[in-house]
Amino acid sequence: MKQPLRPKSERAKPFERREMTFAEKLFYPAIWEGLKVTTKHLVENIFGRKHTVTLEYPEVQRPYPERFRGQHRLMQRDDGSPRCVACMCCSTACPSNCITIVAGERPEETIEKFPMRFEIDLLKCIYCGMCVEACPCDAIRMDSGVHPKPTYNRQAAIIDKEGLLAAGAKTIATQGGTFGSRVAGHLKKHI
Amino acid sequence: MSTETVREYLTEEEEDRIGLHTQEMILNMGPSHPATHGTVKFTLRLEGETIRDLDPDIGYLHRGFEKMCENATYTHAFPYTDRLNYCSPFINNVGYALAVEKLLGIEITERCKYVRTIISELHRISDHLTCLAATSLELGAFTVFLYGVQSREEIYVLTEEICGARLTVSYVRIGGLTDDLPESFADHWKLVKRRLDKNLYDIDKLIGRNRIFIDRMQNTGILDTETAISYGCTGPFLRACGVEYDVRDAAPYLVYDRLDWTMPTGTRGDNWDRFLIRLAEIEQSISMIDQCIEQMPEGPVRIDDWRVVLPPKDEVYNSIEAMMAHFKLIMEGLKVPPGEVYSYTEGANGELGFFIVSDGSGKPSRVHVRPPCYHLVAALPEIMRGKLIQDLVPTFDTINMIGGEIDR
Amino acid sequence: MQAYAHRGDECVVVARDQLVAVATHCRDEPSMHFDMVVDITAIDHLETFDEFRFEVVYHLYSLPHKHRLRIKVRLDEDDVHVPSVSGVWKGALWTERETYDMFGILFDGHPDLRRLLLYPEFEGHPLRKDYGFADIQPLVPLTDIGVPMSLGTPFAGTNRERGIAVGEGTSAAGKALIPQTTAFKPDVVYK
Repeated sequence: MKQPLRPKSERAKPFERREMTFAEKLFYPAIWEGLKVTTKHLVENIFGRKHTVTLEYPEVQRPYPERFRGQHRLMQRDDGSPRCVACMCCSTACPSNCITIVAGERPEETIEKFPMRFEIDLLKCIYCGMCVEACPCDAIRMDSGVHPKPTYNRQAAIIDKEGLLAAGAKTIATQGGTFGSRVAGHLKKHI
Repeated sequence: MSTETVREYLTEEEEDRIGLHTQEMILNMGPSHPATHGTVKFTLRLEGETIRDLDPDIGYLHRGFEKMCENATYTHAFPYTDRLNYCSPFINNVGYALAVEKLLGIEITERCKYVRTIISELHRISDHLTCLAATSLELGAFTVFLYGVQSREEIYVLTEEICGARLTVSYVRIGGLTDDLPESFADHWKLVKRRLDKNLYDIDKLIGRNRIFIDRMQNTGILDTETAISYGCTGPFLRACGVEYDVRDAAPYLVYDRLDWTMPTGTRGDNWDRFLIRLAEIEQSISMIDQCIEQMPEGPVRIDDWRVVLPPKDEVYNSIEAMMAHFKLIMEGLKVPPGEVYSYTEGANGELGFFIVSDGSGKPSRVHVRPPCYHLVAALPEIMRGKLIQDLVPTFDTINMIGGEIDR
Repeated sequence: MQAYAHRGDECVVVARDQLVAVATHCRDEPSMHFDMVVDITAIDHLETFDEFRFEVVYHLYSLPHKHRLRIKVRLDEDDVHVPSVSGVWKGALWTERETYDMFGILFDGHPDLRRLLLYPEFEGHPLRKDYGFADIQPLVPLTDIGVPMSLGTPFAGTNRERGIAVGEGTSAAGKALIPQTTAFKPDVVYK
């Protein structure tokens, strides 16, 4: 019979399968070995908590890492107003359309727009972090470290501007400078 | 039980004479069955305990991944890909990003290649651990399940440190990553590795030579090599049949050609071979991550092209050019030149392919994913016909069907 | 026949009536040896092209030679029949079913062409471009399986003392046949 064509690879390493010895066929050595493993774990867990992986929640809580994507917050300017300029970048970048922004005019200042309404529906939100990536003025962040809480009704899962601002803080990010050399070089390369 | 061949049943006259009557029975197994991890229904036609025919009914988790991608920008598809194979979302992220980058014709940075390799291998370990743990659980080894899931939990904690979420990662972007690996990664990985080694040793002690477990696995669920190739099976399933095929080896992407690793292959193509291959691949993945951490160069993780990736934040805040590039990318989406590509990567269960058609606009015209376990489940009736119903459980486990991926 | 390559992916467009001949040749010719159909899908060009509407796409892979090929068949809107390649590669069995499910393309000679991911009562084919993103399907009425629920279970009729006769073909010895459920077609056997 013709040998079928098969791919050949230098990395391939067929492993040998050992047939069971007579002792192993008797079941008992494997049971004994297994009992040894579980007993070791039992003793370790009783006389020392070094190997325990569970936590006594809620008394002990695991700290969230720095990059944890939790509940959103809106950052503030120095006077406490939102940094958001209602540019709609975050609501466009949102894959699940959970951000509702209604822009308002502020004629007396250099910044023309501000959000009259800024609502996030946490039931729709998938916590992907794309709104934070899309924000051009460091207004929305997900670094509050708060895990989204369950609510009794759907309306309570929609956080409005005041709620988002209350969780926020003043940010040190500055805007409106010049970044001459690198930008110019970049433009020469691509445009 | 495992080596027993199908017994021919008595004729009708003989049944009448003895007074014993058998009949075919139709049994619905699923859609929510403890032995089928994932939502799937099997309609079995049984004769006694022998499966005469089997009809897998998939689609319970169908949510229109491909239709959703047609109505989203290229970047918006990343959260959808997280939910394809929820045991290894990093691999899906990387696979999709590589497909779009192939269509764009861009080359990512060196450090980004290494980071993508690390995270892919990390989630390959997690996927294999899930499969091993679930297999053991459904065959009665509950302790093995706990040890396996404990290690997977530690990988999830590491994942959370990398990208901020445990399961819905959306970490990779077209042309790079959202962020570099955290500085504490190498130390944290050493800790995870130590615990993982210990748990793998314990798992091996518990069931590695245990006859109760091996009897259920050995010589069950065999598919001959020719049929497996004809069905399009890939991954550990095909390697268990002795075919030396791995996308990482046959068409190396990222940095797999620079790493030193071996490809374990089986000889018989039964469930025990697939189980052992997954155990061996976990060891290979651990060694690959170690090599990547050692070789990884410094540098950026995103390419420097503002038509593809978002500009750095400090430039967006401070320069009008970066701000314009930022706005164009967010509002219009990434513009991909017209064309079509099929890109393939090695997922945890086999070849994970993305077929993307672009018409030049900011939204893909067609995104099609080739899930690895789809072709394995398609071959399941062929494997199980004429076998015993209790062999369905380990076979379906080692096939490792992932509901989110097969139903899309 | 027309061939082109884009980004390293080689593609061949073949006529519909030559598809099975080309597929068989691709599989059996030793220099090509495409032993695996990796994927089958379709593309809907509703707004892009006028000459044709659908393209059925076959991705082939050769394990020993490590090369790939894409075969395309172009179809008009009013004639969506393609010969099935499930006799050449068994991997086409499910992928063709899915393509039928999503695009309504009929594969002639497929042994079991039913919907795969969606339910049988689904109206329309969702991945066609004229199927709206937010289209809603009608509610499916409860199906009447013809026998009372208590008798429709697989174990009905096994109680010989009760002598329940369900369906046809009840033998004199008291054997009762199980009513056929709609989901399963025992006459379909994959060869």
